[in-house]
Amino acid sequence: MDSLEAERFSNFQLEVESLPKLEEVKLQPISRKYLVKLQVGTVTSFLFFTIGLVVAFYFSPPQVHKWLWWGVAFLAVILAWTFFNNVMYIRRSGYGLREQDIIFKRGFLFERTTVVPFNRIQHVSVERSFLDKMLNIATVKVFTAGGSGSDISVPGLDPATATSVKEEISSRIYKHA
Amino acid sequence: MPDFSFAQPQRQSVVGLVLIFATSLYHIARNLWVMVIYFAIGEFSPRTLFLAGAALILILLLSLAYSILYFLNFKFHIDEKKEEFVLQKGVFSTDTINLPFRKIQQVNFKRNILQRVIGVYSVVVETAGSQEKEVEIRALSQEKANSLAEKLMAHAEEERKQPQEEEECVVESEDYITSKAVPEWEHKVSLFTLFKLGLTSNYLRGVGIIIAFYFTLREQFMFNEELSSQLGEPEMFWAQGKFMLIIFLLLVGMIITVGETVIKYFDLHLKKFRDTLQVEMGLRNNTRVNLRASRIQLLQVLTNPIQQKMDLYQVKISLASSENDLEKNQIKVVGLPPDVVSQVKKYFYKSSIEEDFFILPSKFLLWRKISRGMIPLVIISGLLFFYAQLITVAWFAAIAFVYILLVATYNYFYFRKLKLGISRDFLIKHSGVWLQKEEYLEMFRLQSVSMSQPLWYRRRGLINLTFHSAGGDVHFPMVYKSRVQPLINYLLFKIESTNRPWM
Repeated sequence: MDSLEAERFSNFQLEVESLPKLEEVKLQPISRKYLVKLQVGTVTSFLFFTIGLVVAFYFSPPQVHKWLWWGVAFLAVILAWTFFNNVMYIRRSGYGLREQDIIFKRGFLFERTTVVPFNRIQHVSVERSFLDKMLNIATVKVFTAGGSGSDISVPGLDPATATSVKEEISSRIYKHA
Repeated sequence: MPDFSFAQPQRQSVVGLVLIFATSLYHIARNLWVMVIYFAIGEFSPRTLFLAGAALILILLLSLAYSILYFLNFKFHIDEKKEEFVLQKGVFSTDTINLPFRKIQQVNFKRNILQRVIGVYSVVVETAGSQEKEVEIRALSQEKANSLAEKLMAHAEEERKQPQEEEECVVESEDYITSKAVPEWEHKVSLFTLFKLGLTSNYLRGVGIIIAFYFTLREQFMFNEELSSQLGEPEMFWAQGKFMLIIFLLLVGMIITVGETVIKYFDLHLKKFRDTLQVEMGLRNNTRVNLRASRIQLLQVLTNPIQQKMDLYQVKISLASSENDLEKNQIKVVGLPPDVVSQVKKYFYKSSIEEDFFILPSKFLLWRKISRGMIPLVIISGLLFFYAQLITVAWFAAIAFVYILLVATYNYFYFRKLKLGISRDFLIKHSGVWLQKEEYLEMFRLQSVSMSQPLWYRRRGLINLTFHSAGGDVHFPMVYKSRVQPLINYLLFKIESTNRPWM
C-alpha cells in the first residue's frame, strides 16, 4: 500500500530550464512581395464596391446622394484600414524552423502563433497561384490531422526557399514515420 | 463459430434485397407523401387517378429492378495479397473501393428496426483517410458480420504492429480468441436510468424540435392553401393565453426529450474485453462500436448538478476523424455512475490521472465577460431614453439590478470553474457553470498548439491557447504568456520526444 501511495503522490514540476525555448526562436520574415499580393487583392475587392456605388449614383434620385457620399467615406476609411492592416500583417508575420517543429506567426489585430511538430505532419505542399508566379513567390502548406485550425500555410516565400523548406520538412516526416 | 473465408468476391445475404428495396421505397415515400395526401383529399377524374396509379406502379417496378441490380452488383472481399478490403458496387457505373488494411480505423455494427426484423447487421468500416467515405455493408448475418469485423480488425492491428515488436503480436493473437468471449467487466444502463436522465436534461432541445417540426410541416403545406387553412390558425393558441402555450411547449419538450434519450440510448451496454471496450446502444438505430484505447484522441466527462446527485455522468469519446466533421466520430455514453467512469478512464489511460497544478485564467477574463454582458443593458437604456414613457424609472432600475446580478453571478461561476489542470502526461480542462465538463487530452496525442493574442491583450501580456487534437480542439482563454510559455515548451517536448503512434 505504501508504494502505491508513493506512486500516486507526485510533486512534479516542469523542468523548463533544460527544455528548448520557443520564445527564443528568431523568426524569418515573409517577403515584401506578398504585400503586393495582399494589396492587389484588397483593391480588387474594393473595385466591386466602387462599381456598385457608381451604378447606384446613376440610377438613384438625388435625395439619396447624400447617403451615398457617406457610403463613399465609409468605404474609404475601411480601405485605408485594410491597407494599413496588410502592411502590419507583413511586418508582424514570420516563420521559423527548428529541429523538430515549424513555427508560424501571423496577424496584426489578432496575432496567432501555431507550432506544428514534424512528427504530426500528414503532408506538405508548395502552392503558387497566377499572381504568385508573376511576383515570384510561393506558399508552403502544412497539413495535420488536427483539423483546419492546426494546419498552417506560410505565404510569400521565395520559390527556391519554399521548395527547400518543403523538402526539408518531408525528409523529416519520413524520418519519423 | 463457423469460419468464413472472405477471399472470394461475395454478395450480401439474400434478405439484403428486402432491405435495399424497402430503403428505396422509403425514399420514394418520403419524396411523394405530400402528393399522396394531395390525391387523397382532392377530387379528380377517374382518368387522372388511373394515370397516377399507373405512374406509381411503374415507379415501384423500376425501383424493384434497380434494387435487384444493386444487390447483384454489390460484392466485397478481402484481398490478403494486396492487403486490402475490396468493395464493388453501382448499377449504372461500377464503383470499386479499395481499403488498405492500415487505413482501417474501426469496424462497427449498426442495425435499424428493419434490419432487426429480418435479422441482419450493417458492418461499417471507418477509415482514417479523408478522401474515402466510410464503407457500409448493410446486410450480413450475425456470424458473418462478426467474422468479417474480427478479420478486418485483426488485419488492421497486424499492419499497425508490424513496424514495432513482431513477437508480441504473435502472443496476442493467441489470446485473442479466448479473451474475446468473456468480458472483464460490463455495465448496463437501465431503462429507469434513461428516464431519470431524460427528465434532468435540457428540455429546450425538445422545444426546439417541436418548433422545427412545425415549420417544416408548414413549409410542406405552403403551396396548398386550402389545406393549411384547415390545419387551424396558430393565432388561436395565442389568443388563449401565452402562459398555457409555454407550459404546453415545455411539457411536450420534456416528453420528447425523455423519448429521444430512451430511443437513442436504449439498452446501453458497455463490455470491457481484453483490448477493446464494446459499446452497444439504440432502439431505432442499434449500433455496436469497439473502442481501442490507442485510438482515443479526446475524452470528455459531463454532468450537471442534478445528474451529479443522481450519479449520472456522460462520457464523450472522440476518435481521430477526417478533417471537417469532428462531431461525427464522437461516441456518447450516458448515465454512468462515477465508478464506471473511472473504470473507463482507467482502461483508456492505464494509470490514474492526478493533476499536479492548475493554470487559471486571468481575472481580466471575468471583467471582460461581465462588461460584455452589460452591452445589451446599455443599448436598451439608450433606447429607453427616447421612449421614456414605456416604463418607469423605478421598474427599470429593478430589472437592471436583477439583470446585473444574474450576469455577474453567472460569470463569476464560469470564471471560478474554468481551470486547466496539468499532470505529467495530461491536460485536463475543467469548465461549465451548469453543464460541467472535464476534457482529458493526452499530451503526446496533440497535433499542434496555437497561441493567439488580440492587439489589446498585448499590453498585459495575455494570450489564448488552443490545443489541436485529432478529435477536436480545446481552447483556454486569457492566460499570462510568461506563465504558460514553459508549459508550451514542455508540451512540444512531450510530442516531439515520443515515438509512440498517436493513432
